[in-house]
Amino acid sequence: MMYLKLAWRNMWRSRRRTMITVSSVLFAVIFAILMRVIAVGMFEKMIADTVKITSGYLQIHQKGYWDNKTVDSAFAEDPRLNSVLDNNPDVSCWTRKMESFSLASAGERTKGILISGIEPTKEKKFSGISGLCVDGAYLADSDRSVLLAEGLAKYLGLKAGDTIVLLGQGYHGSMATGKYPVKGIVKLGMPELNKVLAWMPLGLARDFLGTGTANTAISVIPAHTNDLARMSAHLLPAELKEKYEVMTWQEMIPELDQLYKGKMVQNEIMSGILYLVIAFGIFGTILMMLNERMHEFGILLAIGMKKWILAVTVVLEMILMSVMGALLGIAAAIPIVWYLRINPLRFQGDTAKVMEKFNIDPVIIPSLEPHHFLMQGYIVGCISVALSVFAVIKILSIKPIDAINS
Amino acid sequence: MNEVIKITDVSKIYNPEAIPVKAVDGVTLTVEAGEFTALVGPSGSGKTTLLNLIGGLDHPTSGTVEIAGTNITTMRENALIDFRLRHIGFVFQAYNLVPVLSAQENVELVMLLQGKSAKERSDRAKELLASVGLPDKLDKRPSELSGGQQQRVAVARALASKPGFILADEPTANLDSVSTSNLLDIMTRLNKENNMTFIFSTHDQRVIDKARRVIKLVDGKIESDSRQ
Ligand SMILES: Nc1ncnc2c1ncn2[C@@H]1O[C@H](COP(=O)(O)OP(=O)(O)OP(=O)(O)O)[C@@H](O)[C@H]1O
Ligand SMILES: [Mg+2]
Repeated sequence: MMYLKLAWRNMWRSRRRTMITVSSVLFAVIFAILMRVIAVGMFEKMIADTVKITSGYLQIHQKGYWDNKTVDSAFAEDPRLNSVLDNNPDVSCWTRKMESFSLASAGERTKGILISGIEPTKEKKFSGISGLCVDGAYLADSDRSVLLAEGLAKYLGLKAGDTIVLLGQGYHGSMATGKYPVKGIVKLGMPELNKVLAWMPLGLARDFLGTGTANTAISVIPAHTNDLARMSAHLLPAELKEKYEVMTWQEMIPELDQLYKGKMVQNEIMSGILYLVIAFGIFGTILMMLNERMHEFGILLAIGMKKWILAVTVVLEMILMSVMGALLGIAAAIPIVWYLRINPLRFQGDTAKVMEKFNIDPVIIPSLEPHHFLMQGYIVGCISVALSVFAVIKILSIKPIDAINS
Repeated sequence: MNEVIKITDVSKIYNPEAIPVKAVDGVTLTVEAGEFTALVGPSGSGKTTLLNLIGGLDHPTSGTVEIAGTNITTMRENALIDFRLRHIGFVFQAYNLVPVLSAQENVELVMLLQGKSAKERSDRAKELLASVGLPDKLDKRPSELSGGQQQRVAVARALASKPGFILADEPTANLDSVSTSNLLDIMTRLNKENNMTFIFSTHDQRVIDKARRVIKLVDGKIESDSRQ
């Protein structure tokens, strides 16, 4: 107790220096937290947007489908698979997909597109496509019409109510042809996808491709998205694993995952540099403190204070200082992040355009994941422990008379 | 006869490789319990060096130092720290105290290091501070005390561990004459009433006059050793 008191009072001996050290830690922590939660928030939104409209978080295919995406690898409705998914509490919902590449034409123009047969009612709940309609209306389950991405519709010169002709390869080499009304047009934030996607109700897709009641994929929407790899590994019982493969969005859209990981590494490097600067600051404080107190340390060793006790009081002092900075930093960051969460920042002008190009919605909704906050405290803790090692080594090497004479 | 300090043919040579300085040169000396000894001699004669050797703060180049029957010459650093804590009280020339602790806490610190209970620490610290004439300064920090008062707290702290003797290297060097005689009176009284052994170095004739034994060092050797 006395040692803690000693450490605490020593900390306030050079009030100004302690304030500078504590506030440098504090600002570093605030800055690192903001940087982190903003980057994570931005990317999580971008990933969620992209993943929901395209692959879904997890997909189940017949084995081998992903490497060779043909309608021939579609699999028939499987009650065992359906019941496994229905009974898994980690699965919040699942929908069937029937996807195929096909040729679309209207008037003079023709274009290769990706047709996605979906269950419109279920899909509406989580993908958000229905909310992106800019013309016409979203699909109903029994419709015999299609929904086009806006870029595609523009290229083909189509609007809601027009007719599109589709030509593709159907089941087992059959010819798939059809002429369908365009029910609605959807504008996607992702330019590449906006040029090639079209949707139709599952039933119509099955008829168009001649597959009967089959699916190319089942898209699974998990209750939590944080440990998909584990969920993917345990989703299916052994007997179903023989027939089906489960893939995470990271496996299906590796570019997006790479982009995210790259951004996180970049973020860590920036925080690292920031903390390095702070570490040098704390180091300077320690050096000054050790030098100023040499005489006193000498006296304490002379009257019988063991070196390790002396080291403990000094380390305690440093840890008090950095923990105080880190806690204050975290405490100060929380209201800032809350504020940004409630009043998200929106990018304007060119930045917004560039971000849209990269599929990033130009709005910043910071992540509230506590992990990003605690992490900073942890890092500051590690820095002060590392620097403590230096202080301890220095103290262990003190010779009392030299110290008293200094 | 009760020898608390026994040093035999002790030498300390600084810079043995370059230009060797024989700071202490073949000193043999015993100090008995209850002695009140002044170590005198010109500047550079080796007083501080000798006190450091006796106090186990420095190792002799040759010879042996025995404290309370224990040869401390070959002791390792950690064992020495512990030995000092149990057997030796120190008063240095100035800035003896921990600035962030009160007078009472400074005195208690030594007893805390010895593992004494809070009650015992607090009672004894108060008692000791009263005996050095500072019963009303318990809660004062060193910066709120005069130089003489600080030295008296240092004496109280040195006594706190119940050492065999107290070593004081020029304890009055930074004090005015009133504070000097105050401190000397306290030391004399502790010596008479409690039979506490003191060895102190000094240049001050008034301090020397109060000593009952005076050892004079010249060039690291004992030139005279007289009781008065
Ligand atoms: N650490 C050291 N390294 C080298 N020489 C030293 C060291 N300490 C003391 N000396 C030398 O040893 C000799 C004795 O010094 P010491 O400090 O013991 O004398 P002193 O009697 O205490 O002097 P003063 O009255 O000035 O305090 C001096 O010549 C001094 O220069
Ligand atoms: Mg000296």
